[in-house]
Amino acid sequence: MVISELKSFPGGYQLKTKVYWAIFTGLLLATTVFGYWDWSQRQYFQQSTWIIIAIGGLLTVLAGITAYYPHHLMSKVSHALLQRDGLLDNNLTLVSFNGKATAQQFQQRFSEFNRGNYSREIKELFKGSYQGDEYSFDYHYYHFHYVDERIVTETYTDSNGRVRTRTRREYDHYDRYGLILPFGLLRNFVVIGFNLPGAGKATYKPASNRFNRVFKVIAASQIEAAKAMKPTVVVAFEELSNVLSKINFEVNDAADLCLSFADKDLIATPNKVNISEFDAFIEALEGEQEFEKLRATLSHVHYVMTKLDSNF
Amino acid sequence: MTGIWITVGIAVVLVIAIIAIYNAIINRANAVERAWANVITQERQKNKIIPHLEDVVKDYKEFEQGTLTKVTELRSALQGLDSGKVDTAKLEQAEAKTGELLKSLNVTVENYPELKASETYQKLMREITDQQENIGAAIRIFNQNVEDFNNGIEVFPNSLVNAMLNRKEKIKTFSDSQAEEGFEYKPNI
Repeated sequence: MVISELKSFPGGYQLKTKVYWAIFTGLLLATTVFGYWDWSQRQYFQQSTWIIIAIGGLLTVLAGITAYYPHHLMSKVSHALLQRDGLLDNNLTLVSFNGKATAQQFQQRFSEFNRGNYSREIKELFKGSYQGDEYSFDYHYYHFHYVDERIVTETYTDSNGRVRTRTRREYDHYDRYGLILPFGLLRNFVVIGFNLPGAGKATYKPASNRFNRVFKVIAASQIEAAKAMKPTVVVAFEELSNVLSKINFEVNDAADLCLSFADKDLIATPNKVNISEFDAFIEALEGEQEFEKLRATLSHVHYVMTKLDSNF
Repeated sequence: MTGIWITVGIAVVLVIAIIAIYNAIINRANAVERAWANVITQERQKNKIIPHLEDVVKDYKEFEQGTLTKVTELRSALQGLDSGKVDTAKLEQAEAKTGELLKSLNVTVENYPELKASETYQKLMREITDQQENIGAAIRIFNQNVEDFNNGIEVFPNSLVNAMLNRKEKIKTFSDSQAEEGFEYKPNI
C-alpha cells in the first residue's frame, strides 16, 4: 500500500534545488570578491563594509540551508522508510514500554542491567520470532542506555592567588544492546566477554586459548560448565566473537537468556539508497532485507540450543 | 655507582623477561596437551555409542559380517590413543576407521529400509553426527593451540629462551579433511 502510494505521487521525487545552489554559489563568490576588493583598497574594513559582508554571509548561509535541507530531509525519510521495511521483513514489531520501568524489570532478571549508578533506561524494544530447524522461539531485541555519575576533583587558583580544590559531577553515557528469550536447557550459567556486574571468578576454563582470551565461564558447578561447554559450543562462541563485540551470554535462574553486546547495527537497514533514485528505492522496498548480524546471532543461539539438548 | 645500579636494573629486567617468556612457553605447551586430551576424550565418547550401534544392527546378518568387523577395528584404534602423548598419526587412524565404519553403515543400511526409517537408528546417526562435530571442533581447538605454541617458541626472543631453557619442539597440527568437514558451523558474515 505504501509502495503504491509512493508510485502514484504525481510530483516525482527529484528535488529541484539547482536555483538555490546557484544563488548560494553566487552570494558566496560575490561576498568573498567584494571583501577581498575592499580590503585591497584600504587594508582595513569600514563599518559599512562589515555590514555588507555580514548581510552577504547571512544570505549565503540561508541559501545554503535552503538548498541542502530538502536533500537532508529526503535522506532521513528514505532511511526511515527502509528501516521500517527492514523491521517488517525480519518480523520485528515495536513493543510499547516504559523505558525506566522496563529497565528495572530487566535488572531484576539479569545482572547485565545492573549498570549505571545514575540512570538506566530501555530506549528501544522490539519483539520478533525465530524459526530454526529444531527450535523456534520468540525474542525481544532491546537497546539499553545507562549513565554513570562520577565526582571529579580539580584544583584551581582563586583571585587571591590561593590554590583551592573544587568538585564537580560528570556523567558518562553508555549503550548496550541485546536479545532476551526463553532458553531452557541451562540455569544460572554465564559466558562473560565484557565486565558483568557482580560476576565472580570463572568456574571452568575450556581447552581453547582463543576462547579463554575473550571469555570466562561461570556456572553453578564445574561439572555443569564442562558438560555445557562442549567443543562445538566453545568454537561457536569463538565465531560469535568475530561477529559481535563485548558479548555476555547470561542464562538466569528462570532459564531465560539475555545475550548482550555492544553492536548497535543488528537491526539497522543495510540499504543506503535514496528515494530520489526512485526505481532503485522501490526495488529495495519490494525486496527482502536481511539483517545479517541479527540472523547470525539468532542462528548462534539456535546452534547452542541444539548442541546442549543432545543426551544419549 | 649509578652505572652499577643501571647494570643491576637491566639484569633484573632481563631475568624477569626470561622468566615470563619461559612460563608463557610452558603455559602454551600445557594448553596444547589439554586440547589434545580433549580431542581424545571426544574420540573415546565413541565407545559409548558403539554398544548401541551393535544392539541396533545385531539382527541384520549383513551388518554382522561387514560392519561389525569395522566396529572392532575402530575399537582397537580408539584403544591406541593416548591422552598424555600427542600422536596425530594414531588420531588420523582412528578418524579413518570411523570414516570407514560410517561409509559401510550408509551403504549397507540402504538394503534395510525399515532399519533406516527406525527412530532408534535415526537417533543413533544423529548422535554419531553430533559426536563427529564435537571431534571436529576439538581438533580445531587443538590446532589453534598448536599454532599459538609454535608461534610462542619461534618468535624472537622466545626462540632464544626456548633454545636455552625450555627446549620444546615445534608440534605438527592435525590435518584431516574428513574430521574438519564434520564441523560445519560457520556463522561468520
